[in-house]
Amino acid sequence: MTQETTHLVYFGSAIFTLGMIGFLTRRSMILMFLSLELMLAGVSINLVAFSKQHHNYQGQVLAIIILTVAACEAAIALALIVSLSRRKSTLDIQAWSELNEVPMRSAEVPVVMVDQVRHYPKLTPAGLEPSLTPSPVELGYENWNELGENTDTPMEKTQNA
Amino acid sequence: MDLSEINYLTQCVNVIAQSDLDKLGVPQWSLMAFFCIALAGFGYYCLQYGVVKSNAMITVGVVALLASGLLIAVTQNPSLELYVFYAFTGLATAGGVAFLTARQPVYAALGFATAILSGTGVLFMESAHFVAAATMIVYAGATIIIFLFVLMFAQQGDLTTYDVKLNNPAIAAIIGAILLGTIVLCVQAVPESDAIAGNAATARPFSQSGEAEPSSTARLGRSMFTEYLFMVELAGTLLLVATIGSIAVAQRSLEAE
Repeated sequence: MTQETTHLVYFGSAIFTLGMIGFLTRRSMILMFLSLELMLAGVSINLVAFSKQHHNYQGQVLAIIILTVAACEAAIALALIVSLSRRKSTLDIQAWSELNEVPMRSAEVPVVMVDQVRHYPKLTPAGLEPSLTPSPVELGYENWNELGENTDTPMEKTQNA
Repeated sequence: MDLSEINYLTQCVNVIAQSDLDKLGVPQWSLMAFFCIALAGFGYYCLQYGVVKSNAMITVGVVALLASGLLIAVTQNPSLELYVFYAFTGLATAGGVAFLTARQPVYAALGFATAILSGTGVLFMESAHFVAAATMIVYAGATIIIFLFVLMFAQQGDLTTYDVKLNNPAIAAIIGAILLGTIVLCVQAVPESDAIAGNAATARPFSQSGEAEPSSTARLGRSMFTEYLFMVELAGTLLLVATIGSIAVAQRSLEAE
């Protein structure tokens, strides 16, 4: 490589690395998005450098394609940032950390038996109060307690006798 | 895939395989290790404590940049073109560092704009005129919109916790230093040579430049709309999909309210 290309590759990789560190460390969603843009800029500088090294236009064409992808990314990322920050009214990316994978349980943690302790899902009451099912008295069965006696099995009848 | 396509690919692979990438000596490795450790420590310090905090620190940084540029100009005596080129690269890197280490989101956005615009200057010096102009137009619009977003969302003056307390700065600094050191080492191992002028093995026929420098926009367009036509169509489709997607995402949030 020529000396100029070498220095440009150093420069592009420095910009790319700065963007990557920014993406890993920043917690504000807008600044994470800017870090991504910085990474793409580093890559396109690299492509243009090799385009000059090889005396052809292929690298510049790829740089233009990267520019298009960056524009698409900007459109979608800004829409996402707006919708996400409206939900939780913060730009912190760690407000969404419940979306990540649950860490594996270690072996020392005792396994809770499902039969002994039952965890039923608790739903927060919301909306209208649900209509209760009508009681048998309301449905017209005045003597619903005696209804069971008529439906006894023949086995029990013989036992009673 | 026709025969000429296979031939082109094999020629490219041969060109890559002939370089001396495997001949790395021990001093280069130890130099890279030292470089990585020093860079990771310095980067961790900058990230953790935030270099760009006050106007005094920014002033000191700008003065140091100007002084080093003056020193290079006096001692090395470069040509004006080379001097402008290195000034742009230095300014862009400084902007990137300012973007990383600024605590205020507005300062970070300013550092980003500096980095991108200086990078555009580097592209101009590299005779990629159309790419430089397009980058400037796209990123100028994007940067203004980002500024609006920052002013809309981030409160001025008081810093939030997610601006001050970063996410694993030590690990990120180590990863970045190792990546940069590896790239520097690999690039150093490549032997210095002249530019590959009009090499048929690495260029498609319509992409070759007649001149010494690929600076003609007309030839760039010819290359893009003949040999990369499918890529252009794909990019157009991607733009359409991104437009529809961003509208859909924004609309869903409106319905939720």
